[in-house]
Amino acid sequence: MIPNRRRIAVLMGALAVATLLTGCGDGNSDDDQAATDASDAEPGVLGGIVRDPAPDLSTVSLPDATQGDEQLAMVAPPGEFLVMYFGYTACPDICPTTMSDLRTALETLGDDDRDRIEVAMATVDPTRDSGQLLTSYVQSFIPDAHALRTDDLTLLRTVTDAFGADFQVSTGPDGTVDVAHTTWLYAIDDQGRLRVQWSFGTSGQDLARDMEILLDGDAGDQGTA
Amino acid sequence: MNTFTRRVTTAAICLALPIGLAACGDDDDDTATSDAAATDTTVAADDSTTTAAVADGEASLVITDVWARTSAEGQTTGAAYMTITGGAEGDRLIAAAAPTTVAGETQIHEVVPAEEATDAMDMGESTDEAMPGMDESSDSMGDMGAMTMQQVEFIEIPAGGSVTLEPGGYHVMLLDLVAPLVAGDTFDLELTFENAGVQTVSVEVRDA
Repeated sequence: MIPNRRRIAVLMGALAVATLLTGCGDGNSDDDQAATDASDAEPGVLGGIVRDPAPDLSTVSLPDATQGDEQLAMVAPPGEFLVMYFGYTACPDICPTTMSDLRTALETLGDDDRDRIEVAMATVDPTRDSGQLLTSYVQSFIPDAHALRTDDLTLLRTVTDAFGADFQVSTGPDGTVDVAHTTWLYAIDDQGRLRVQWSFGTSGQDLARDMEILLDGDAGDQGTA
Repeated sequence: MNTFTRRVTTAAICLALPIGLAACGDDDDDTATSDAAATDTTVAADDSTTTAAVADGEASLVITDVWARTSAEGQTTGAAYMTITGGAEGDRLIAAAAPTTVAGETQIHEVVPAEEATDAMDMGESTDEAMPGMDESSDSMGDMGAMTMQQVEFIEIPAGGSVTLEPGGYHVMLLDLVAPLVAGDTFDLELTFENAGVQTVSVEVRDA
C-alpha cells in the first residue's frame, strides 16, 4: 500500500533525524521541546525535523475558503515558504497554542522575511468548521492566512497522507465529538517539497530561527539530495 | 485510566521515535511531578497566589499563574492553565466550574498521543495495517505526531509536589464559550478538590 509505505518512509526519516537530537526532555522543565532549542542548535542547522527524502507535496491541493474555494496547491510562491497546519477551530489547547506560536514566529521575523512566509490551516473537522468560520479563526491569528476546507474526506485523506499526517473525528454516544490530529507544523518550499516539520511546543523563537535559515538558503538543498 | 501526570510535551517529541529509543526511556511519568515540585514551591509567594486553607487552618494548596489564552474569532472552546502545589498531604482536583457567563460547561482534560487515548480511537483503515519491522504499539497514528484530548476524572496533586496545567498537558477546558476571551479580562474559576474543597481562583486572560 502506498500510504503505508509513505508512513514507513516518514518514520525512517523522522528516526534518522531524531536520533541526532538531544534527549526527549528531562521531565522537569517547561522546555521539553529541547530538541528544537535554538541554544543547543548549530548555526545554520534546522532545529525542526527534516525528512529525507523530502516528501513531494506538489501534486496535492485543497480548496481555499479565503479565495472562493479556489484550489491552493501545496507549493509556496517563488522564493517563499508555505507553512501548513492541520487542525480545527473547536480545539481549546493544541491548535490555539500552535497558531499563537506561529504568530509569535512571524512577529519575530523582519518584514522582508515575514512577507515570504505564507500560512495555511486546513480543518480536519469540516462538519463543524465552515469556510467562513475557519477563515475568521485562522485570520484572527495571522491576517492573511489561508483557510483550507473540503467536505471530500477522501481528498483530505489524500493530502494528509502526502504529508504523513493523520486525523480522526468521532462522535460518542453522548454527542461528544473527539478529534485526533497530527500536530506538526510543516514548511513547504516553492517546489512543493516538505523542507522541515516542527513538533507541537516548538517556540515561536525557534520557529522563526528555522524560517530564517530556510529563507536564507543556509539549509542547502536537503530536499533534493 | 492513567491520570497521573504525563509529560505530554515530551511524548509529542517521542512520537517520532515509536520504537522507543533509549533517549526517551528515562521519561518516567512519576518523576516529572516531583521534579517540578522542587522548583515550583518557591513561587508560592507570588501576587496571583491563591492559598487554600483546610479546616485546621493550615495552608494545603497553593495555586499560581492561573491564565487562559485569548480566544480566536470563532473559537468555541478555551482552556485555563495553572500550577497547583500540594501541601503535606496529597489532594485531587476533581471538578472545575467557570461561570455560565463565560462557558456553558467546564471539564478537566488532558492532551494525550492519539495512540494512548483511553477510549482507543479507531484510526481506521489507513493505520490498521501492520508495519513490517515495527512493533505493534507503533501501529497507530501516534507515529504521525497525532494527539487528542480526553476528559479525566481527577488530577492527582502529590503530597509536597505540584502539577502544572499547561498547553499540551492538562487543562481546564471551557466548552461553549459564551463570549470571546479578551486579553486583560479576568473571571472566577471554582476548583473542587477532594480534601481542600471548593477553591475559587481568578483566571487572567492573556494574549499569549
